[in-house]
Amino acid sequence: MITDPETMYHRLGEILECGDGTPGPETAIGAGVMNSLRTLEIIALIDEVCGVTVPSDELVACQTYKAVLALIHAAEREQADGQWKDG
Amino acid sequence: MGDPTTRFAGIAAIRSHLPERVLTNQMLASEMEGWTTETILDKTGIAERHVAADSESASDLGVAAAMKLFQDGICRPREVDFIILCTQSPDYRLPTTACIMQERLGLRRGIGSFDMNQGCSGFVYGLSAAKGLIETGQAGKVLLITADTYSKYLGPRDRSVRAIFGDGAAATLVSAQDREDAAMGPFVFGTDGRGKDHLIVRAGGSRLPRSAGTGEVREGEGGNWRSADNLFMNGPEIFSFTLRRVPETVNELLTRANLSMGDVDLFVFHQANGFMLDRLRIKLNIPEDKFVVHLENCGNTVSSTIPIALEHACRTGRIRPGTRVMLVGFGVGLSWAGTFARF
Repeated sequence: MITDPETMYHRLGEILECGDGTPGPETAIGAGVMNSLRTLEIIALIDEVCGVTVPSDELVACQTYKAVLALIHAAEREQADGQWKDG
Repeated sequence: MGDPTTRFAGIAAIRSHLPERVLTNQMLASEMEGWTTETILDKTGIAERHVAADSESASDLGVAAAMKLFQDGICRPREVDFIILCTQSPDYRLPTTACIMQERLGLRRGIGSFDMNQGCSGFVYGLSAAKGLIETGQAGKVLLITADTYSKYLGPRDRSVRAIFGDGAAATLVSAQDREDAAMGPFVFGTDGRGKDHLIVRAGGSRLPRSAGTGEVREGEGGNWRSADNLFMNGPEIFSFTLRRVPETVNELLTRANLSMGDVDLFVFHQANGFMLDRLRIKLNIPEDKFVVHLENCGNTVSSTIPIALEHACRTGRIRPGTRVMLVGFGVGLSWAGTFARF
Protein backbone atom coordinates (compact mmCIF):
# COMPACT_ATOMS: atom_id res chain seq x y z
CA MET A 1 0.00 0.00 0.00
CA ILE A 2 1.04 3.62 -0.46
CA THR A 3 2.03 4.75 3.01
CA ASP A 4 2.91 8.26 2.05
CA PRO A 5 0.73 9.85 -0.65
CA GLU A 6 2.65 13.10 -0.34
CA THR A 7 5.83 11.37 -1.46
CA MET A 8 4.00 9.90 -4.43
CA TYR A 9 2.56 13.32 -5.35
CA HIS A 10 6.06 14.76 -5.15
CA ARG A 11 7.50 12.03 -7.40
CA LEU A 12 4.64 12.48 -9.85
CA GLY A 13 5.32 16.20 -9.84
CA GLU A 14 8.96 15.59 -10.73
CA ILE A 15 8.08 13.39 -13.69
CA LEU A 16 5.21 15.54 -14.92
CA GLU A 17 7.10 18.78 -14.28
CA CYS A 18 4.18 20.40 -12.47
CA GLY A 19 6.05 23.65 -11.87
CA ASP A 20 6.71 25.62 -8.72
CA GLY A 21 3.54 24.75 -6.78
CA THR A 22 3.43 21.98 -4.21
CA PRO A 23 1.98 18.91 -5.89
CA GLY A 24 -1.14 17.56 -4.21
CA PRO A 25 -4.21 15.44 -4.83
CA GLU A 26 -5.96 18.14 -6.85
CA THR A 27 -2.97 18.98 -9.03
CA ALA A 28 -4.20 18.78 -12.59
CA ILE A 29 -2.56 16.80 -15.34
CA GLY A 30 -3.01 18.95 -18.39
CA ALA A 31 -3.81 17.66 -21.84
CA GLY A 32 -0.73 16.32 -23.57
CA VAL A 33 1.38 16.30 -20.41
CA MET A 34 1.15 12.52 -20.01
CA ASN A 35 3.13 11.65 -23.12
CA SER A 36 4.47 8.20 -23.86
CA LEU A 37 7.84 8.65 -22.14
CA ARG A 38 6.29 10.11 -18.99
CA THR A 39 3.75 7.30 -18.93
CA LEU A 40 6.61 4.81 -18.98
CA GLU A 41 8.35 6.62 -16.15
CA ILE A 42 5.21 6.69 -14.01
CA ILE A 43 4.53 3.00 -14.64
CA ALA A 44 8.11 2.32 -13.53
CA LEU A 45 7.66 4.53 -10.46
CA ILE A 46 4.44 2.80 -9.41
CA ASP A 47 6.01 -0.61 -9.93
CA GLU A 48 9.05 0.38 -7.89
CA VAL A 49 7.21 2.04 -5.00
CA CYS A 50 4.00 0.04 -4.86
CA GLY A 51 4.90 -3.25 -6.55
CA VAL A 52 1.93 -3.15 -8.94
CA THR A 53 1.46 -2.35 -12.59
CA VAL A 54 -1.38 -0.17 -13.80
CA PRO A 55 -3.14 -0.19 -17.20
CA SER A 56 -1.51 2.47 -19.33
CA ASP A 57 -4.72 3.60 -21.02
CA GLU A 58 -6.31 4.31 -17.63
CA LEU A 59 -3.16 6.07 -16.47
CA VAL A 60 -3.14 8.33 -19.51
CA ALA A 61 -6.80 9.19 -18.83
CA CYS A 62 -6.06 10.45 -15.29
CA GLN A 63 -6.67 14.19 -14.99
CA THR A 64 -5.43 14.72 -11.41
CA TYR A 65 -2.78 13.21 -9.15
CA LYS A 66 -5.60 11.94 -6.94
CA ALA A 67 -6.88 9.91 -9.89
CA VAL A 68 -3.45 8.30 -10.30
CA LEU A 69 -3.50 7.27 -6.65
CA ALA A 70 -6.98 5.83 -7.05
CA LEU A 71 -5.69 3.77 -9.97
CA ILE A 72 -2.84 2.48 -7.83
CA HIS A 73 -5.24 1.53 -5.04
CA ALA A 74 -7.39 -0.36 -7.52
CA ALA A 75 -4.34 -2.25 -8.81
CA GLU A 76 -3.33 -3.09 -5.26
CA ARG A 77 -6.80 -4.44 -4.51
CA GLU A 78 -6.70 -6.55 -7.66
CA GLN A 79 -3.30 -7.87 -6.74
CA ALA A 80 -4.49 -8.71 -3.25
CA ASP A 81 -7.44 -10.56 -4.77
CA GLY A 82 -5.07 -12.49 -7.03
CA GLN A 83 -6.75 -11.19 -10.18
CA TRP A 84 -3.61 -9.64 -11.61
CA LYS A 85 -1.97 -13.03 -11.97
CA ASP A 86 -4.27 -13.74 -14.87
CA GLY A 87 -4.62 -10.20 -16.11
CA MET B 1 20.15 -37.71 -39.77
CA GLY B 2 21.18 -37.47 -36.15
CA ASP B 3 22.35 -40.28 -33.98
CA PRO B 4 19.38 -41.33 -31.82
CA THR B 5 21.69 -42.34 -28.98
CA THR B 6 22.80 -38.72 -28.32
CA ARG B 7 20.34 -36.92 -26.14
CA PHE B 8 21.60 -33.55 -24.98
CA ALA B 9 21.08 -30.48 -27.14
CA GLY B 10 23.20 -27.40 -26.60
CA ILE B 11 24.30 -24.21 -28.35
CA ALA B 12 27.50 -24.93 -30.28
CA ALA B 13 28.10 -21.52 -31.88
CA ILE B 14 26.42 -18.27 -32.92
CA ARG B 15 27.17 -15.83 -35.72
CA SER B 16 25.27 -12.69 -36.59
CA HIS B 17 24.89 -10.29 -39.45
CA LEU B 18 23.68 -6.70 -39.60
CA PRO B 19 22.85 -4.87 -42.82
CA GLU B 20 25.32 -2.26 -44.01
CA ARG B 21 23.06 0.80 -43.89
CA VAL B 22 23.07 2.61 -40.54
CA LEU B 23 20.51 4.98 -39.05
CA THR B 24 22.19 7.10 -36.39
CA ASN B 25 20.60 9.18 -33.65
CA GLN B 26 21.92 12.25 -35.39
CA MET B 27 19.98 11.31 -38.51
CA LEU B 28 16.82 10.68 -36.49
CA ALA B 29 17.19 13.91 -34.52
CA SER B 30 17.51 15.91 -37.73
CA GLU B 31 14.19 14.47 -38.92
CA MET B 32 12.21 14.75 -35.72
CA GLU B 33 11.43 18.00 -34.00
CA GLY B 34 12.23 18.19 -30.30
CA TRP B 35 14.61 15.27 -30.27
CA THR B 36 18.34 15.43 -29.77
CA THR B 37 21.00 12.81 -30.28
CA GLU B 38 21.54 12.66 -26.53
CA THR B 39 17.82 12.38 -25.72
CA ILE B 40 17.41 9.37 -27.96
CA LEU B 41 20.44 7.63 -26.48
CA ASP B 42 19.36 8.46 -22.96
CA LYS B 43 15.80 7.19 -23.40
CA THR B 44 16.51 4.10 -25.51
CA GLY B 45 20.11 3.12 -24.85
CA ILE B 46 20.54 2.99 -28.63
CA ALA B 47 23.02 5.09 -30.61
CA GLU B 48 22.48 3.55 -34.03
CA ARG B 49 20.50 0.80 -35.69
CA HIS B 50 21.08 -1.02 -38.96
CA VAL B 51 18.48 -0.90 -41.70
CA ALA B 52 18.06 -3.33 -44.57
CA ALA B 53 18.29 -1.97 -48.10
CA ASP B 54 15.09 -1.84 -50.11
CA SER B 55 16.13 -4.96 -51.97
CA GLU B 56 17.36 -6.78 -48.87
CA SER B 57 15.12 -9.32 -47.13
CA ALA B 58 15.20 -11.53 -44.04
CA SER B 59 16.65 -14.45 -45.99
CA ASP B 60 19.55 -12.29 -47.20
CA LEU B 61 20.45 -11.38 -43.62
CA GLY B 62 19.95 -14.93 -42.37
CA VAL B 63 22.04 -16.47 -45.15
CA ALA B 64 24.86 -14.00 -44.45
CA ALA B 65 24.83 -14.97 -40.75
CA ALA B 66 24.75 -18.70 -41.47
CA MET B 67 27.56 -18.45 -44.00
CA LYS B 68 29.81 -17.16 -41.23
CA LEU B 69 29.29 -20.42 -39.34
CA PHE B 70 30.47 -22.31 -42.42
CA GLN B 71 33.30 -19.92 -43.26
CA ASP B 72 34.59 -20.09 -39.69
CA GLY B 73 34.69 -23.88 -39.90
CA ILE B 74 32.08 -24.40 -37.17
CA CYS B 75 30.29 -26.91 -39.35
CA ARG B 76 29.89 -27.83 -43.00
CA PRO B 77 26.67 -27.29 -44.94
CA ARG B 78 26.21 -31.01 -45.50
CA GLU B 79 26.22 -31.65 -41.75
CA VAL B 80 23.05 -29.65 -41.13
CA ASP B 81 20.00 -31.86 -40.55
CA PHE B 82 17.33 -29.22 -40.03
CA ILE B 83 16.83 -25.50 -40.57
CA ILE B 84 14.43 -23.41 -38.51
CA LEU B 85 13.86 -19.78 -39.43
CA CYS B 86 12.20 -17.50 -36.91
CA THR B 87 10.92 -14.38 -38.63
CA GLN B 88 7.95 -12.05 -38.81
CA SER B 89 9.10 -10.53 -42.08
CA PRO B 90 9.36 -13.50 -44.45
CA ASP B 91 10.47 -13.04 -48.06
CA TYR B 92 7.07 -14.15 -49.34
CA ARG B 93 3.71 -15.12 -47.88
CA LEU B 94 4.63 -18.45 -49.40
CA PRO B 95 6.79 -20.44 -49.97
CA THR B 96 8.45 -20.99 -46.62
CA THR B 97 11.54 -18.80 -46.43
CA ALA B 98 13.51 -21.59 -44.72
CA CYS B 99 13.10 -23.64 -47.91
CA ILE B 100 14.61 -20.80 -49.92
CA MET B 101 17.50 -20.63 -47.47
CA GLN B 102 18.15 -24.39 -47.79
CA GLU B 103 18.92 -23.88 -51.45
CA ARG B 104 20.89 -20.68 -50.99
CA LEU B 105 23.05 -22.18 -48.24
CA GLY B 106 23.77 -25.31 -50.25
CA LEU B 107 22.25 -27.61 -47.65
CA ARG B 108 21.27 -31.19 -48.41
CA ARG B 109 17.79 -31.93 -49.76
CA GLY B 110 17.25 -34.61 -47.13
CA ILE B 111 16.71 -32.11 -44.34
CA GLY B 112 13.70 -30.59 -42.63
CA SER B 113 12.87 -26.89 -42.73
CA PHE B 114 10.16 -24.60 -41.46
CA ASP B 115 9.46 -20.99 -40.62
CA MET B 116 8.25 -19.94 -37.23
CA ASN B 117 6.28 -16.73 -36.78
CA GLN B 118 7.39 -15.43 -33.42
CA GLY B 119 8.97 -12.15 -32.40
CA CYS B 120 10.94 -11.28 -29.33
CA SER B 121 10.37 -14.65 -27.63
CA GLY B 122 11.22 -16.50 -30.84
CA PHE B 123 14.83 -17.39 -30.13
CA VAL B 124 13.86 -19.35 -27.01
CA TYR B 125 11.05 -21.04 -28.95
CA GLY B 126 13.57 -21.99 -31.63
CA LEU B 127 15.94 -23.47 -29.06
CA SER B 128 13.08 -25.52 -27.67
CA ALA B 129 12.15 -26.85 -31.11
CA ALA B 130 15.79 -27.65 -31.88
CA LYS B 131 16.17 -29.44 -28.56
CA GLY B 132 13.10 -31.54 -29.31
CA LEU B 133 14.44 -32.54 -32.72
CA ILE B 134 17.86 -33.44 -31.37
CA GLU B 135 16.90 -35.21 -28.18
CA THR B 136 14.37 -37.41 -30.00
CA GLY B 137 17.00 -38.41 -32.54
CA GLN B 138 15.40 -36.63 -35.49
CA ALA B 139 18.40 -34.39 -36.07
CA GLY B 140 21.99 -34.07 -34.95
CA LYS B 141 22.67 -30.48 -36.01
CA VAL B 142 19.95 -27.85 -36.23
CA LEU B 143 20.56 -24.46 -37.82
CA LEU B 144 18.36 -21.98 -35.98
CA ILE B 145 18.19 -18.69 -37.84
CA THR B 146 16.50 -15.57 -36.52
CA ALA B 147 16.11 -12.77 -39.03
CA ASP B 148 13.87 -9.75 -39.31
CA THR B 149 13.51 -6.56 -41.28
CA TYR B 150 11.01 -4.68 -39.13
CA SER B 151 12.26 -1.42 -40.66
CA LYS B 152 10.03 -2.18 -43.64
CA TYR B 153 7.01 -1.98 -41.32
CA LEU B 154 7.93 1.30 -39.64
CA GLY B 155 6.15 4.53 -40.49
CA PRO B 156 8.75 7.16 -41.49
CA ARG B 157 7.15 9.68 -39.14
CA ASP B 158 6.61 7.31 -36.20
CA ARG B 159 9.41 8.12 -33.80
CA SER B 160 7.99 5.77 -31.14
CA VAL B 161 9.32 2.81 -33.10
CA ARG B 162 11.97 4.18 -35.46
CA ALA B 163 14.34 4.91 -32.59
CA ILE B 164 13.95 1.40 -31.19
CA PHE B 165 13.99 -1.21 -33.94
CA GLY B 166 16.87 -2.31 -36.13
CA ASP B 167 17.23 -5.07 -38.69
CA GLY B 168 19.51 -8.03 -38.21
CA ALA B 169 19.96 -11.78 -38.15
CA ALA B 170 21.69 -14.50 -36.18
CA ALA B 171 22.52 -18.10 -36.99
CA THR B 172 22.77 -20.46 -34.05
CA LEU B 173 24.06 -23.98 -34.42
CA VAL B 174 22.33 -26.28 -31.95
CA SER B 175 23.89 -29.71 -31.79
CA ALA B 176 23.96 -32.92 -29.82
CA GLN B 177 26.32 -32.70 -26.86
CA ASP B 178 27.82 -35.56 -24.94
CA ARG B 179 27.60 -33.75 -21.59
CA GLU B 180 24.27 -33.51 -19.80
CA ASP B 181 25.35 -30.27 -18.12
CA ALA B 182 25.67 -28.66 -21.57
CA ALA B 183 21.98 -29.26 -22.29
CA MET B 184 19.50 -26.41 -22.59
CA GLY B 185 16.48 -26.24 -20.34
CA PRO B 186 14.18 -26.32 -18.57
CA PHE B 187 11.85 -24.12 -20.60
CA VAL B 188 9.04 -21.81 -19.49
CA PHE B 189 6.48 -20.44 -21.94
CA GLY B 190 3.66 -17.94 -21.67
CA THR B 191 1.03 -16.52 -24.00
CA ASP B 192 -1.65 -13.86 -23.67
CA GLY B 193 -3.42 -13.16 -26.95
CA ARG B 194 -5.54 -10.48 -25.30
CA GLY B 195 -2.56 -8.21 -25.84
CA LYS B 196 -2.40 -8.74 -29.61
CA ASP B 197 -3.28 -5.12 -30.35
CA HIS B 198 -0.37 -3.72 -28.35
CA LEU B 199 2.22 -4.68 -30.96
CA ILE B 200 0.78 -5.29 -34.38
CA VAL B 201 0.94 -4.71 -38.12
CA ARG B 202 -2.78 -4.67 -38.88
CA ALA B 203 -2.75 -4.93 -42.66
CA GLY B 204 -1.20 -7.49 -44.94
CA GLY B 205 -2.76 -10.71 -43.70
CA SER B 206 -6.10 -12.34 -44.48
CA ARG B 207 -7.96 -10.34 -41.84
CA LEU B 208 -7.13 -7.03 -43.49
CA PRO B 209 -5.41 -7.31 -46.88
CA ARG B 210 -3.25 -4.39 -47.95
CA SER B 211 -5.00 -1.80 -50.07
CA ALA B 212 -4.81 1.88 -50.89
CA GLY B 213 -6.89 2.47 -47.77
CA THR B 214 -4.60 0.59 -45.42
CA GLY B 215 -1.71 2.69 -46.67
CA GLU B 216 -3.38 5.92 -45.62
CA VAL B 217 -1.22 7.61 -43.00
CA ARG B 218 -2.92 9.15 -39.96
CA GLU B 219 -1.72 10.97 -36.89
CA GLY B 220 -1.71 8.85 -33.76
CA GLU B 221 -0.78 9.51 -30.14
CA GLY B 222 2.14 11.81 -29.45
CA GLY B 223 2.22 13.17 -32.97
CA ASN B 224 3.32 9.87 -34.46
CA TRP B 225 2.05 9.17 -37.95
CA ARG B 226 1.39 5.68 -39.23
CA SER B 227 -0.89 3.62 -41.46
CA ALA B 228 -2.43 0.18 -41.00
CA ASP B 229 0.48 -1.16 -43.08
CA ASN B 230 2.88 0.05 -40.39
CA LEU B 231 3.90 -1.39 -37.06
CA PHE B 232 2.00 -0.03 -34.08
CA MET B 233 3.48 -0.40 -30.61
CA ASN B 234 1.74 0.60 -27.41
CA GLY B 235 4.97 1.16 -25.51
CA PRO B 236 3.49 1.69 -22.04
CA GLU B 237 1.37 -1.47 -22.25
CA ILE B 238 4.31 -3.53 -23.46
CA PHE B 239 6.33 -2.10 -20.59
CA SER B 240 3.63 -3.00 -18.03
CA PHE B 241 3.38 -6.50 -19.45
CA THR B 242 7.14 -6.91 -19.24
CA LEU B 243 7.38 -5.72 -15.65
CA ARG B 244 4.73 -8.27 -14.71
CA ARG B 245 5.66 -11.33 -16.77
CA VAL B 246 9.45 -11.34 -16.89
CA PRO B 247 9.97 -11.55 -13.11
CA GLU B 248 7.36 -14.32 -12.98
CA THR B 249 9.19 -16.18 -15.74
CA VAL B 250 12.54 -15.78 -14.00
CA ASN B 251 11.14 -17.15 -10.75
CA GLU B 252 9.41 -20.04 -12.46
CA LEU B 253 12.59 -20.96 -14.31
CA LEU B 254 14.60 -20.93 -11.12
CA THR B 255 12.02 -23.10 -9.38
CA ARG B 256 11.90 -25.62 -12.22
CA ALA B 257 15.68 -25.80 -12.40
CA ASN B 258 16.01 -25.92 -8.61
CA LEU B 259 18.39 -22.97 -8.74
CA SER B 260 18.66 -19.60 -7.02
CA MET B 261 19.56 -16.23 -8.54
CA GLY B 262 23.11 -16.66 -7.26
CA ASP B 263 23.52 -19.85 -9.31
CA VAL B 264 23.05 -17.93 -12.56
CA ASP B 265 26.28 -16.59 -14.06
CA LEU B 266 24.73 -14.30 -16.65
CA PHE B 267 21.30 -12.97 -17.56
CA VAL B 268 20.59 -12.30 -21.22
CA PHE B 269 17.12 -10.91 -21.77
CA HIS B 270 15.51 -9.70 -24.96
CA GLN B 271 17.17 -6.37 -25.71
CA ALA B 272 13.97 -4.35 -26.04
CA ASN B 273 15.41 -0.97 -25.07
CA GLY B 274 17.72 0.42 -22.45
CA PHE B 275 15.01 1.85 -20.21
CA MET B 276 13.16 -1.45 -19.98
CA LEU B 277 16.31 -3.48 -19.36
CA ASP B 278 17.37 -1.09 -16.63
CA ARG B 279 14.02 -1.37 -14.85
CA LEU B 280 14.04 -5.16 -15.11
CA ARG B 281 17.56 -5.41 -13.73
CA ILE B 282 16.67 -3.21 -10.76
CA LYS B 283 13.37 -4.99 -10.09
CA LEU B 284 15.07 -8.39 -10.14
CA ASN B 285 18.06 -7.13 -8.15
CA ILE B 286 20.57 -8.44 -10.70
CA PRO B 287 24.13 -7.10 -10.36
CA GLU B 288 25.29 -5.13 -13.41
CA ASP B 289 28.21 -7.46 -14.03
CA LYS B 290 25.79 -10.37 -14.47
CA PHE B 291 23.39 -8.55 -16.76
CA VAL B 292 23.99 -8.16 -20.47
CA VAL B 293 22.99 -4.95 -22.23
CA HIS B 294 24.00 -5.01 -25.87
CA LEU B 295 21.91 -2.83 -28.13
CA GLU B 296 23.72 0.49 -28.43
CA ASN B 297 24.94 -0.23 -31.93
CA CYS B 298 22.19 -2.44 -33.27
CA GLY B 299 18.90 -1.52 -31.57
CA ASN B 300 16.09 -3.96 -30.97
CA THR B 301 16.47 -6.65 -33.62
CA VAL B 302 13.42 -8.61 -32.41
CA SER B 303 14.13 -12.37 -32.29
CA SER B 304 17.85 -11.80 -32.90
CA THR B 305 18.58 -9.66 -29.86
CA ILE B 306 19.37 -12.58 -27.56
CA PRO B 307 21.70 -14.48 -29.93
CA ILE B 308 23.44 -11.25 -30.96
CA ALA B 309 24.02 -10.44 -27.29
CA LEU B 310 25.18 -14.01 -26.61
CA GLU B 311 27.65 -13.87 -29.50
CA HIS B 312 29.04 -10.60 -28.18
CA ALA B 313 29.29 -12.01 -24.65
CA CYS B 314 31.24 -14.99 -26.00
CA ARG B 315 33.60 -12.77 -27.96
CA THR B 316 34.26 -10.49 -25.02
CA GLY B 317 34.86 -13.30 -22.54
CA ARG B 318 31.73 -12.80 -20.46
CA ILE B 319 30.70 -16.30 -21.48
CA ARG B 320 33.27 -19.04 -20.99
CA PRO B 321 33.03 -22.82 -20.90
CA GLY B 322 30.64 -23.76 -18.13
CA THR B 323 28.90 -20.39 -17.89
CA ARG B 324 25.22 -20.82 -17.00
CA VAL B 325 23.09 -18.21 -18.78
CA MET B 326 19.42 -17.42 -18.27
CA LEU B 327 17.64 -16.38 -21.46
CA VAL B 328 14.25 -14.65 -21.42
CA GLY B 329 12.41 -13.35 -24.48
CA PHE B 330 9.18 -11.35 -24.33
CA GLY B 331 7.02 -9.20 -26.57
CA VAL B 332 4.69 -9.37 -29.55
CA GLY B 333 1.83 -11.83 -29.15
CA LEU B 334 1.88 -11.26 -26.30
CA SER B 335 4.38 -14.03 -25.84
CA TRP B 336 7.18 -14.82 -23.44
CA ALA B 337 9.64 -17.68 -22.96
CA GLY B 338 12.72 -18.47 -20.93
CA THR B 339 15.35 -21.14 -20.56
CA PHE B 340 18.89 -21.84 -19.38
CA ALA B 341 21.81 -22.39 -21.71
CA ARG B 342 25.18 -23.74 -20.60
CA PHE B 343 28.31 -23.06 -22.60
